[in-house]
Amino acid sequence: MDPVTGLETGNRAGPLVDVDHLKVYFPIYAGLLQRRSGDVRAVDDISFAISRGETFGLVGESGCGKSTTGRAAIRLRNPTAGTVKFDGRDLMSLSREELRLARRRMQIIFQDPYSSLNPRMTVSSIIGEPLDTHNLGSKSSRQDRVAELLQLVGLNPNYRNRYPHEFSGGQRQRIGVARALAVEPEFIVCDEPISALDVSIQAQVLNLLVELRERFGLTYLFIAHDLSVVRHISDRVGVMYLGKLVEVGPPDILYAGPGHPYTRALLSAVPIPDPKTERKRKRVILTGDVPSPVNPPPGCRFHTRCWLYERLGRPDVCRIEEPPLREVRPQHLAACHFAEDALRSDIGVAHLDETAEPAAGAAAAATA
Amino acid sequence: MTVSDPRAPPGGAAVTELPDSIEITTEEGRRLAERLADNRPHARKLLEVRNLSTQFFTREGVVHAVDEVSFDVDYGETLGLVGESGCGKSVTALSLVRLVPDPPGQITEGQIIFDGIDILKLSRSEMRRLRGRKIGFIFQDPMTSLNPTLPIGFQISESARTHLGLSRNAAADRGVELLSKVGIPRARDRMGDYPHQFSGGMRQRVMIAIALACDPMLLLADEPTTALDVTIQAQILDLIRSLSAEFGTAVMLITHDLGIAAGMCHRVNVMYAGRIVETGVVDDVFESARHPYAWGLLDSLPRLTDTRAARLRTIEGMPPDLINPGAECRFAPRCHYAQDRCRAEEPELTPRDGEGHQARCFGTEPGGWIP
Repeated sequence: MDPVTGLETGNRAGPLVDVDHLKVYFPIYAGLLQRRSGDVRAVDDISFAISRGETFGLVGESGCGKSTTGRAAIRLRNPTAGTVKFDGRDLMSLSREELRLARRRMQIIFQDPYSSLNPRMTVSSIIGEPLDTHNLGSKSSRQDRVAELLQLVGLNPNYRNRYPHEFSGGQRQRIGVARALAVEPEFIVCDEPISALDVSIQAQVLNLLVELRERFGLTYLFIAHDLSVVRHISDRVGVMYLGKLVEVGPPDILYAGPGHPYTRALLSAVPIPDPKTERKRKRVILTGDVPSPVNPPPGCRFHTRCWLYERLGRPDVCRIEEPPLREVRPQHLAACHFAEDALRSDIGVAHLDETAEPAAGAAAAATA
Repeated sequence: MTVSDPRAPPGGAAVTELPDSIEITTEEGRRLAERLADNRPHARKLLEVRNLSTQFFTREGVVHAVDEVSFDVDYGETLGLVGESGCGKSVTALSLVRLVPDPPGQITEGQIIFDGIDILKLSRSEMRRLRGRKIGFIFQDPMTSLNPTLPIGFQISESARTHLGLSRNAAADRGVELLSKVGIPRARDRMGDYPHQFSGGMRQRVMIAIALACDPMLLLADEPTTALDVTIQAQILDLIRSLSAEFGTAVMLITHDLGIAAGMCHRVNVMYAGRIVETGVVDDVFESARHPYAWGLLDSLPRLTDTRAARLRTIEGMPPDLINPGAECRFAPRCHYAQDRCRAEEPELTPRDGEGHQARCFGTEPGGWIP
């Protein structure tokens, strides 16, 4: 039993967060009688686990289901099917009170520092609110705690009686971080925490998150659309496309040689702040838009935009059979029938030829 | 042909030749009228901006949003304007086409010479002739810059009719041609669709079609892909790149994303607090930046080739208040290298190694203290 939350602490060696066959559907009602006419399959059967102290990065384009996954991971959304276990216990099986206690151990930092802070509350009451909810400390000790938290995230404790509008975007995001840290959580979902910030401020907040992780041994689920940011902070990266996890692996392996054609296309689309590299890069430009998650394409969901599918002469299996997420190399999973062919390609990684494994470098040089 | 024009009179009379109907009241306007017909260069540079200052007169005081900015754009080149929010890059672009909201904004000083024509001397109606005809724009948010109540076919052919005096049918044909050019499938069928029937990337393609409708000499693209996903962004950037090469259109690309600037531009201007702090060919600026802000920005980016959790270099602090910028170097309060001189006077843009490479920093001037 955990002395604070009264929850079963489960197996210390097991993962802290265990997402198993998670599905989150949003129903669509249409017509005069508002009958249920279909579902938006935001998250469609994904599984992953996050160990204690690990940072799992989730990347993908808008609408791929990464934020919904993040919310379901701390039960801000109820799953349609599947389970989310936190420290060995199924979050859906918890009573209201048990869930409240469990929430002390898991927190979230939101993307938009402008809308996620109540404009009518002072900084001190924003950061103090979770302490209130969880009855932590006396009134006076709470004030000290707020000051301590402000200092921790690099803000002047004298600002505690100010309102959010008096702060810049980066400072507001620091307030959001302080609020998440107030209850000393173990697990924090960071939902695009730096996307709304300016470049020079992004680096400040990213550094802060890394420092805090090291200092408190935090576990992060880090959601972002920026592949370089995710690489920077994550121990393992998962790539999502249209509600599915299509690839998982440690960043060094995954970025040097992705096994899914979508990841390769994504990598080749990221602009690199180096004119020489930009000129010699090999790009695949995906045609068309992401299909609708209401009627995802049959078989592999990516086949409608897949360059490898075209290159291999449109094999039937891609249209018929959904590829499972399977191990293509040690620690490296990809959901593609032709992952081995994708691994052999130099698309998306040709620009890394100085740093990537020599084989990829040689291939890039030969085709250049 | 299914283009419906809600404003057309019943019976659909052909539109009269609008270009003759502009009132010419100034000397510059007369020169402009002579040059509307074709895109032959008439000056040494397509655009010359000299000491441009744009200020906003607010209750709190005068905001010096753009302060004595000078730069050129060559015919057919792609120039980047990079910087963080509030640095004045968008206001610079709006000033070039005199679209700064007035009040509170006003161009208080400077000269803007477009293809040999002094833009600030044109009358309002003459300015309208230039805009759209010779200068096209693409804005960040394609949803708010398209009219939601008009079919896109109308919105595309509108400028061809206004500026080129095409008949309705000819303008509609031109619209179809442009839509296919920007990669919209079944272009003819989609002319009657409304903006909400298109995805974000498709709307941005429509915006590009509108911007290019009159074959402009300059395309102003203000954060054209910021609202889009990375794979769609790649499509749109590729489109801008190939169209500008095909038509020889010069592009002024405004972006906060240094990666985009690196891949798209021939030259870049780095802006900070209303000033250009560094300018030069992309390779010079990205590889041997000579302003501490420019290299600070480059160093603060996480890279695809990074190793995990290495500490990013940051630029501490925040940009200054532009109401009273003071006489010091505007970056000095955030600069590690700043010395007394930087806090007493502001440096000028002075030459560095490389063609046209300039930086506004005492420390990196010859004999300066920054290596």
